[in-house]
Amino acid sequence: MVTDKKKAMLYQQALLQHHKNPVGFNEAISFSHQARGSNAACGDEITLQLAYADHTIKAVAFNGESCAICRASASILCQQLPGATAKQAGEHISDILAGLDGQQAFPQEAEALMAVSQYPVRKQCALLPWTALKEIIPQLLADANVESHAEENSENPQEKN
Amino acid sequence: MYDQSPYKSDFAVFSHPDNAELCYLDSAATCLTPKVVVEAMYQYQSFSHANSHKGLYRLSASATELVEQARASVAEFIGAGVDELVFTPGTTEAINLVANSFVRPRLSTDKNIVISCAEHHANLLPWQRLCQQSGAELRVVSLTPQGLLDVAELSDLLDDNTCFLAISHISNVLGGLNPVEEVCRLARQKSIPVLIDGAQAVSHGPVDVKDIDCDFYAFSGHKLYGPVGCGVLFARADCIEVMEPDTLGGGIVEQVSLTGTRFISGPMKFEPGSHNVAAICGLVAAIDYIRGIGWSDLVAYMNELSTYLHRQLGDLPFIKPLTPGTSGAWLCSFQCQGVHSHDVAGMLDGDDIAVRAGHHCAQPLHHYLGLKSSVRVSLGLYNGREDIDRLVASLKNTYQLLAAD
Repeated sequence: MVTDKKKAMLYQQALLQHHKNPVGFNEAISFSHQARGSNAACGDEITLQLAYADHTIKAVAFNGESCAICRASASILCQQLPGATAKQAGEHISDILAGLDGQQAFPQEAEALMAVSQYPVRKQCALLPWTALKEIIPQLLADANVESHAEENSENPQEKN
Repeated sequence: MYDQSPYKSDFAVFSHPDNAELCYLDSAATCLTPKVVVEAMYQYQSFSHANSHKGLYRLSASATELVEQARASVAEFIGAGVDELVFTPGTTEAINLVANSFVRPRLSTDKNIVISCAEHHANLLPWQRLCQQSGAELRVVSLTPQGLLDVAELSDLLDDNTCFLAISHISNVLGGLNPVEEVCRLARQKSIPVLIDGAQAVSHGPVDVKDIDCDFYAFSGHKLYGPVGCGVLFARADCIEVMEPDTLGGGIVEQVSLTGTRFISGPMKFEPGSHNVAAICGLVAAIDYIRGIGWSDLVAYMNELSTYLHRQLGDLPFIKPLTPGTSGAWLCSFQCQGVHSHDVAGMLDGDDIAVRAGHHCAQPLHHYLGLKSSVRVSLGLYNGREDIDRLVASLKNTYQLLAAD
C-alpha cells in the first residue's frame, strides 16, 4: 500500500474514534437554540442544537448526514462546549479556525482535526459544525445581555428609578 | 491481459517522481495527456504561433492552415462535413451555443424541450433556463432499471409541441451507452431536432454523426486525451445556416458599420475572437494518437479492463453500484456501505488513488436514485489490472477502518 509520506494521515485514530463514537450525535436534548450548516459542495447537512441557560451552554447535540471529518469535528464541538459562556464559545471557534488555517496549534481536545489543515479541500467539512455554531453565538450574546439586564434589574430594582 | 497497461508509458505524468505510484481513476472527468499531445502543443506554441485567420503574413497563414486542417481531421473523425464543424472551448459552450442560437428563437409558452434525468448539469441548466424564461415546459425522461434512457417513455413524451431533444450519448455517472440512433429516428419522425451530448462517448469508440442522424453533437477534447480549451460542436449545415452567432466579436463578420453587421456564413461565425490554436493542435494530436492505436484495439482493451473492474467490485459485498447491469460501462459509480463518499475518496487519496466523489455534476440524477452522492471510478488507456487491484485493496481497508465494527 502506498501512503503519501509528505502529509499526515487524514483519518488518524483519534478522528476515527470520534467518527465511530460521536459525542452528542442524535442525542435528544431540550434545546434553546439550533442552526443548520450545509455544504453546497457535497450536499452534507448537519443541525446543531444547543441548550443555553444562566449564561452557560448546558448541552450540545447534532444530527444529520455528513462525512467522517465533519462528524468528528461536530463531536469535538459537543465535547468542548458544555460549560462555556457565549464568549468562550466564540473563542473556541477562533481557535479551530486558526488551527485549520495552520496559524496556531490545535487545542488538545481538537487534535484529531490536526491533519485536516494539510487537506484544503476537506477544511470545509471540518468547519461545517463550527459555522453553524457561529450563527448561534450572536443570539446567545443577545440572550445573555437580556438576562444580565434582567438580573441587574432584579438585583437593583431601585437603580432604574 | 497485462497487469500494467501497454499504453501507460505514452503518458509522461507517471514518469514524474511525485506520480510514480499514481493510480488515476478519474478519466470521465478528464483524461491524462499523452506525450504526443503535449509535444504537438509545444511545437505549435514555440515555433508556429500567430493569430490565425487574420494576418497576411506567412506565420499567420500557416496557423490558419493548421486550424482548417484540424477542422477537416476532426470532421472526418466523427463523420461530419467540414462545413459542419465548429470549434468551441468545450462541450458546455457548445450546448449553450445551440440553446441560445438555435432553440431560443423557436421557443414559446406552448412548446416543450425533452431531456433525461441523467443529464450532466451542462446539458440541463441551459434548457432549464430557456424554459424558465420562455414559459415552455421541460420534460424529463426517466431511466430503465439498467440506467439507460427509457426510450418507450421518451416516445410518449415527444409530441407536436416538442421543440428540441437533448440527450447524453453516455451518462457521466452511469456509463451505459444510450440508443441514440433509435432516439434520433423517433425524433426525426416528428421533425424534432436533437442534440447529443457526446462528452463521454467520444472516447468510447467510433462516432458517426450521420449514422446517428442527430442535428447536433458536442464533445470536449480533454475527455479524448486532448487538452482542455478545445471542444467541438457538430451542427448540420442547414442548422448552421439558420443560426445567428451568439457570442459576438472579431473575425465573424462580412461587414460592420456602426448601425449594423452582416455575419459570415458557415461554422466560423460561431468562432469569434482568436482561435485557441495550441489546444486545437492538441486535439488533432489526440485524435491521431487514437487512430494510431486503432479503435478496435482500444475498445477491446478497455472492454476487457472494464469487465475486470466490474467483476472485482462485484466481489466486494459492501460496494453497492448505483445501477445493476451497466457492466459494459468503462466506469462504475457506487456507494460504499456505511462510508460517506467523500471519506472513500479521502481514504483512496491516502493511497494515491484518484477517484471522483460527490454528485459528479448530476445532482438531479442522484436525487432520482434517492442518493446525495456517490463514488465514481472511471478508466483510461493508462490503467491496467494493477490499478484495479490497488483500488480493491484500498476499498477493503476503507470499509474496515470506517464502517466495520
